[in-house]
Amino acid sequence: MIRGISNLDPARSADCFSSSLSILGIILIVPAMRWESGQANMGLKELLLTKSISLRVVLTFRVVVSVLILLCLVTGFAIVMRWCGCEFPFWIYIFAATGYAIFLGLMGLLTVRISGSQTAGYLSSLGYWSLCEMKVITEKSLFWMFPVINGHVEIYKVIVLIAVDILSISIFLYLSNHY
Amino acid sequence: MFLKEMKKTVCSVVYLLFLALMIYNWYENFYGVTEKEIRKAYESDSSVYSTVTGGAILAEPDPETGSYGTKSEENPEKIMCGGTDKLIIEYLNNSYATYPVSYYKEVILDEEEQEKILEIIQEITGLNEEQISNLPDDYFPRVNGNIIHMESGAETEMDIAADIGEADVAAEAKDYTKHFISQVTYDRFKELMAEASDIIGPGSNYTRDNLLLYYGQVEMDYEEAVDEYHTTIYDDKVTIAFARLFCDYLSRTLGLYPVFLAVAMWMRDRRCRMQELINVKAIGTAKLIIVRYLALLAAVLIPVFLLSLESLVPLVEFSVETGIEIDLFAFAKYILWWLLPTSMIVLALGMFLTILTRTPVAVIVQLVWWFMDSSFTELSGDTGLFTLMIRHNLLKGSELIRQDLGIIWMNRGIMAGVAVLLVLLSIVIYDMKRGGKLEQKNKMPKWLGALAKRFSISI
Repeated sequence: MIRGISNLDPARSADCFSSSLSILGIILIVPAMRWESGQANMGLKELLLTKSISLRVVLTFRVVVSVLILLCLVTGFAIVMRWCGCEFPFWIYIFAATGYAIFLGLMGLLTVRISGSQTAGYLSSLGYWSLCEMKVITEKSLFWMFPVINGHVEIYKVIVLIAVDILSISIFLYLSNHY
Repeated sequence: MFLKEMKKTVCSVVYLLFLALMIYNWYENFYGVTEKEIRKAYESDSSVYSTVTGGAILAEPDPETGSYGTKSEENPEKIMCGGTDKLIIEYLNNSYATYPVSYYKEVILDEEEQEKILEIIQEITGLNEEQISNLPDDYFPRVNGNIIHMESGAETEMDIAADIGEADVAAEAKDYTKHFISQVTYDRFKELMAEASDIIGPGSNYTRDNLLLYYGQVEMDYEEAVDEYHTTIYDDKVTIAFARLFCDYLSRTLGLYPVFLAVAMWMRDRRCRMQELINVKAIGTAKLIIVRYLALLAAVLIPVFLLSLESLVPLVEFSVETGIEIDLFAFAKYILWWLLPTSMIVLALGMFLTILTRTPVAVIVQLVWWFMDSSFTELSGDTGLFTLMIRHNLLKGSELIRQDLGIIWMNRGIMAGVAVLLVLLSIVIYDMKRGGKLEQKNKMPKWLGALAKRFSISI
């Protein structure tokens, strides 16, 4: 309805993946700490800390499940796009889109963890996404994280994206057990 | 209490993020523009924003330059030539580019619709289907608006003239099968383009605005360039031009990010379990709502005023050095009439929906509104009654603002008025909730039983 997904070339397909599908990462990953964040939930946190299973395991499980759902949704959409005649390297774009969505989700999740505010988490992720939509952060910018530029996969961008994702999840897991 | 609420707002992580996003947006788009324009004026070179439109906007045009940039003008021959060229290209590929919501969308027509497009092309060109499918390479000009035809080793016009004589060249130029000559009047052409646009769908290349944008650019002459310069210096008093561009860039930020501040502020009471405490306090609901609202508004706009100084200070220096009079309060005036209503409505909507639902649903609502407004509003001269973010992405073009002044004032009045209405509604609803009248759990029917507990929202 909003944008066409038929007969797109690799560059336009990449545009579709980066600007539309990436929001799934924000929707699925940012709320992972919803029940534990904020001062109001101190009682809940204290209760969880007395449990034998660590909070880190619980949060890891939530993030992993979110990522798996994200992967399924992105793959499904990619199949639909292919069926509509779009041309793009299938698995590479799925990998890039999922990695980018994870980046957006983790950005918000880390902000939630550090600030204790869900609103701040959504603002950080949606803020970055909106700056990309407004072309304030362009493909030539250092802060552009989607690794497909003009239909071509940039290897150094892939490496940076993977590194940022790994670093983010590591910091999050380290902080998740420290209250 | 106002200062207390402001302190709470500005000392929050959400506000710091809001500030960071706004400053980054300003830095990438507007920072340094004023200084560059002033520097280019002294060097009498092309400026950042006037590379397409001619010389530096602060430098008087030089009669010996010869090139003064372009302006938008409805040139029937150029528009008919460019529009038809594009339509033929898309018809032959059966692939029509549209941008209904600013994103690219390819439209493929069925046989019946393609037939209608063919009839339109036939009427404009006077050619039959076979001729249309096999047009000569030089049927259209090589550079035709935004279309560039790559030659494939064809003879140039000069070679042809040398071979066959000047009289035959003139005859060939009048032959509508060899070069494009419209067989319809411009008015009929516009009707046909409107028909094509209806067939293809919204956002096609054949709307009147797009035809003018792509094919309606003509060179300015010296007198027109001087008029433009005088408008900038004497009518706009220099600063107004920069104030417009500043407000254009910041309106995109203020159309979305302040809603997070409103949501965070009102959700904080619930998160910190302060709601019961506030409910029993003697402070009136109206005072509480209005003070918090004004605190948010001040927190949003104070940085905007401060950012405007980056452009105003160099312009003051420019005025002192050149003796050109400027309007010192241009930025303040434009921020108040352009950005204030946008901020008011965004904050008011955020506050109202958060108080009503006690959820951050205002973020989604505002995001959708911001996205739709950005998609459906052109970069300049496209203000409607309900436009959230007024756009004017030019340093020149003050006539666009002047011609739309009536609609702009109505628009700003509507935005401010609706914002005030939402604030009043927020007062009413919050007052009812403080009195325990609008609790969800009270509204759940008894027969829902266990389900009522699951779906009720506790404070």
